[in-house]
Amino acid sequence: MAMDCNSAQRILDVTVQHLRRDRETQSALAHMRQCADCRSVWQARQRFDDDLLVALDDVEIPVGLEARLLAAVKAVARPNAPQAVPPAPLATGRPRVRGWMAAAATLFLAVAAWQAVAWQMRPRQVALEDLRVRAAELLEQVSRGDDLSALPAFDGAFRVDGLSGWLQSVDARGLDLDGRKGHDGLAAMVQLSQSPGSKAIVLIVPASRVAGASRLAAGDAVRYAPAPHVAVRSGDYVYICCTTPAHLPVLERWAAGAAA
Amino acid sequence: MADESTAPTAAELVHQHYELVYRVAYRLSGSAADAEDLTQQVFLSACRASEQVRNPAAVRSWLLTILRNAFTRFRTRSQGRPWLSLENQAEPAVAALEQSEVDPEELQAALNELPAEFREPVILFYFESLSYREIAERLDAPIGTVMSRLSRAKSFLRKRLASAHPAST
Repeated sequence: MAMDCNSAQRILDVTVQHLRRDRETQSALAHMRQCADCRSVWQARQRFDDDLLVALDDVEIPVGLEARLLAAVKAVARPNAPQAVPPAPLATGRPRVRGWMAAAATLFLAVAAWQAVAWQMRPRQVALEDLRVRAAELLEQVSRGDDLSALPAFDGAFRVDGLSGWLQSVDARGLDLDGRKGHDGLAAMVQLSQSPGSKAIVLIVPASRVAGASRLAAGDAVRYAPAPHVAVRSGDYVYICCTTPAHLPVLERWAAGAAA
Repeated sequence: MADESTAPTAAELVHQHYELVYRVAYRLSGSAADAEDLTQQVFLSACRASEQVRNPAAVRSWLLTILRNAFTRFRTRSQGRPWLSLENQAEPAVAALEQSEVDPEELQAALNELPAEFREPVILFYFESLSYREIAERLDAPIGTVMSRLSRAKSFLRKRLASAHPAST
């Protein structure tokens, strides 16, 4: 058995909800099929989970709670209900001062409204973690045999210097990061040149759109679930590459070169 | 009863959802009095905004989001509980796990010992049946963090509840 009991139980504990096709999960499942001890641990945990679900729901509802809640919301909803706190008295300042204050308040509101519009219009940044999750989901999708045709066709222009020796693009699509349509980046299904038959996803996003991009100067390999990644900043772009665990070393070597 | 085109009335909101909201509030706060306060806060907030409800099917999730925000504020006000380390929690033996019955009160005592950062994913996972990704979105946390916290919280609950009923063999 290639995988030990502790590793198999740890992996299956967090992946049972969405059993993945990655090699680590498949190894854990294969281990469990052969290991009676792990099977019994797993079955006991499943039964415990079921009991936990029932017990969590077993909470005694206080008598009269619904009536008390209804009374509370009706008291708030009634427009002419007596106020627990009396309204504040009206201001009694001189009329000319009140006029200046009103003008200043109007000006302030106009500036605030303009800034709010500008804030909405600015390009939004995306967390690096969200891009990693996005890449992992796309990898899961292509591992199932689907393609990226659900994404929009790519018609932008991104330079991908340094990638050509390492990756062969199979399909490149546009990436919409903020739901406003248009291309904010590129999502590509690729094959690692040094590993025929391998599949990987590469997201290429302008560094200005990625929060925390400056931390990526030396490359950043992440091995934890749901799938291993390499993230690296090179020039004006951030590259997030996600592949199966067996091919991670190839990406790490590429990231070291790209960061240098 | 609200159909798909109309927002639910305050009475409908309370009648249809108060038991669920109270149960989750109780499991989060660990106290009947705090749970009732939180439940009332949820429905007062919800009724003020109930006209904005466009998708009655999502009301349950919306109410639980309001509850979680209210609980976060409540927790901020009442901090000071000692931090519990969940590192290196040894798993109970299978026999201990099989002989343990989950008692609701002991479960609550165990939940109360869990830091809120670990308790909330458990509640979202079991009460709302959310996926890891959905929990990550609700809690604004990386998915890897959610998976790790959920795994450690479940491990802690298994150990804590199994040790309450040690195996006889």
